[in-house]
Amino acid sequence: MFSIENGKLINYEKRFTGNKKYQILKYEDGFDKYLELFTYLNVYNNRIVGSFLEKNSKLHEERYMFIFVTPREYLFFKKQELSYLTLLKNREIYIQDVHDMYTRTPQFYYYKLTLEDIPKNLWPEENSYYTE
Amino acid sequence: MDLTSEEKYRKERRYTKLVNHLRLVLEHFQHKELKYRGIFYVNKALYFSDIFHMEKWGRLICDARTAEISWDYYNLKSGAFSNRLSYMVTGDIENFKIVNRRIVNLRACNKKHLSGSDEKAVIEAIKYLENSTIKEIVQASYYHDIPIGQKIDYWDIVEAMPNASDLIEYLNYD
Repeated sequence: MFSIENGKLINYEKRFTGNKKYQILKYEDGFDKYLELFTYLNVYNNRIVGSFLEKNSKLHEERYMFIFVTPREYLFFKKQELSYLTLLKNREIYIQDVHDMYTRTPQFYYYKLTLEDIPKNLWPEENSYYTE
Repeated sequence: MDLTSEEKYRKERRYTKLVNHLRLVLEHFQHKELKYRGIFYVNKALYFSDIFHMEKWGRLICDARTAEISWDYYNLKSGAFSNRLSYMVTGDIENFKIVNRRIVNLRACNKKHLSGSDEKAVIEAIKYLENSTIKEIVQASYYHDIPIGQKIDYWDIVEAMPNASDLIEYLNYD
């Protein structure tokens, strides 16, 4: 997993607060399945678009990134007029680290970053659009 | 009508959110002029924070939808007025109190129940109220199409937004 040098820890949660309205768009094939690109409403009913970044299977840690989108952006994203990469540019990206993934008490750490702080090999492709 | 446990939970959670929304508004008005803690300004702070949040993020802070909740806005001569304010201030003795026509907050706001965007909308609304006159505030919150004393529907609020077409499409999407 890449190091978060410029990232600032903004929140830490011991308990999973329950993001119930997952709308899974795409799963990777294979035994270890993870969310590749997803959109859902969080506990406060704010619209989120995010994706999987990295995982550390030995320590059972996973890393996701997500952003908050406005209604207009979300509509364009769903109509495939706006790609995921253009959404990520020039805005704050939230990084979610999940530790103790498969235990009863997974722990969540949140950081704020920009796209430049993330290694380029983890960036989404330029034509990464919403597909259903 | 019997409510399921999930519906009860949602209702309770929504109420705690509304209480903390009001608490946050009162905390921001705490060190300002005394007039801001009167019913008029507190009510307008609730209304405009809801409106600003809807304009940017596509939902009211109180999350009210037409039939789900009875916390609605009514169209008065002085503009939109929320009935939840009078309910909470008179009915919720543990949290609020009226002293000399000013609302007093008895408990601190628990910000866990509010998102970051909710807080920003409240701050934006308070700045707007400070920089505008009473006449401007009333004009901005008055609905000309709705008779005085009648309920303002959820979709009336949405349709009055500058970006109404986007919002209507977004809210009907899923």
